[in-house]
Amino acid sequence: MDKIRIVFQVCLNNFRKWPTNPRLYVLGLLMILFVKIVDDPIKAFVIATGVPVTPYAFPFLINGWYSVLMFMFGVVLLFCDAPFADEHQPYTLIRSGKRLWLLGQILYVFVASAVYFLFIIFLSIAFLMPHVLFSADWGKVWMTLARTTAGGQFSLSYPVPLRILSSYHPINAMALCFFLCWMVGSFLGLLMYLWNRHLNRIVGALVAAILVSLEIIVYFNEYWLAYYSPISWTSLYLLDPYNISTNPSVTYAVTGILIINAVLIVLLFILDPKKDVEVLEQI
Amino acid sequence: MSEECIVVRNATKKFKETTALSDVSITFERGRIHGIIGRNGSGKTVLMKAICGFIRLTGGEILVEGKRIGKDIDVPKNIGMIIETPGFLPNYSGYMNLKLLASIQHKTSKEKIRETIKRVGLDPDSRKHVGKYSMGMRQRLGLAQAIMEDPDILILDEPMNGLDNRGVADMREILMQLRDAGKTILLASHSAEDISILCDTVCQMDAGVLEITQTSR
Repeated sequence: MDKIRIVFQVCLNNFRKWPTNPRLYVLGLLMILFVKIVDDPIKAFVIATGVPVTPYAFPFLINGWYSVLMFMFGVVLLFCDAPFADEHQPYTLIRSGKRLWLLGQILYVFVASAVYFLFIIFLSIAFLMPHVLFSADWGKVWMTLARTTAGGQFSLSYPVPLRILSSYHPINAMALCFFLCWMVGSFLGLLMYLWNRHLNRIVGALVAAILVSLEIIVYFNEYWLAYYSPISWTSLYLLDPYNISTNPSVTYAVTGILIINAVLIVLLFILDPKKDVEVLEQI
Repeated sequence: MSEECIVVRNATKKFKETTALSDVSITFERGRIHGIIGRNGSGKTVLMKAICGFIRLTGGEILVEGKRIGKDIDVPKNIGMIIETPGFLPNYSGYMNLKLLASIQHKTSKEKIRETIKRVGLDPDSRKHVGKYSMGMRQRLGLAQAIMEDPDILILDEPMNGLDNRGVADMREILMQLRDAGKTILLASHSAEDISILCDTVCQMDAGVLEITQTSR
């Protein structure tokens, strides 16, 4: 029980630094502006038709390739200071011990990634207010956008594929999409932690940025690459729920990201104790 | 209980081409203040970090209370330290910073934290954020965080940095009280006066090599 408390305290200490980190304000502002811009056409459509929209924009939002790029580059910005070893950390580490400190940092990556994507989901709903109808089905707006060209007329910047509406219950789609984004965000955080700690910060952010950029190639019809690009696994549009096409299946994506994250955590536990504790400047 | 508190055996640390510690061997006895002097880059901080378990030695070993650092334990238990600049959360008060650090181990009480803050000459009720503290106030708070959990060993790297004359006098008095209470203190300092007033033994480091070890009293 004591060990769990220590891990949580180490993790919480990182969140306590958020209010004084200008990088996070920039990230927050960027996401607010971006989600506002991509939500505006939906709002315009809703106002024009007078039909309220259900709050399930997120699974579609994450289908646009530049939305994925924006959200994932946001993750790179969020975790670019991994391994979060500023001048405060030695005083935490001497009390927690190295292994619990590392566990605390890993927990931080997972919790921060969840907070980040929950914030984006919140924004995607908030910017549609007060025209949101809380209902358990997809509702008329998403159905119309999927079946007609109305989205193009309102300059909607992401696709609303009928396949998603017919394959998933909206709550399931939201939950699955959030889970995949959360895990992929955590993957990027862990990857940057590993590279930053064992090479240097520039390499970590660069490797993550290259992986994120791979999404552009995947989107423009190199779907085979999606098997090797965890960033693409966040898109329900690309994933095959029934495992009948050449695209990666949902099971492949979920299993794949869980295995990759597990491997990264094991690697961190093997490699981290062999490294010196270095105090790094806050970015 | 053995008099040997910290034993450094043939400690060597290399950073690529640079040798920061070169075959250093020394024993620090319990209940004394041990001074480490040397120029910048002489290896004082590296030795202290190695004792704290922050740096893995390239060769040799360090035992704290009989436990090998990096083998039996990753960081020593029951140790307080100030290494380089004391780092705190800038948007919290001094008291809150110590309370948050203390919440990791739960080895001390709120009352003890308040007492310790008073002991180093700060106000535990002050709401001033640490980000607005002077260097001297940060050093005082740094000492408070090092001693608030009543550790048996203190590793203090230049604790007098940024302190005015009054602060230095207060710090010296606290360190002597701690020594009298049986604590083992490793003190790195540039000040010959601090070393001569406070330390029971003195060793000098130069370019990673331990040059002189003398017992001053």
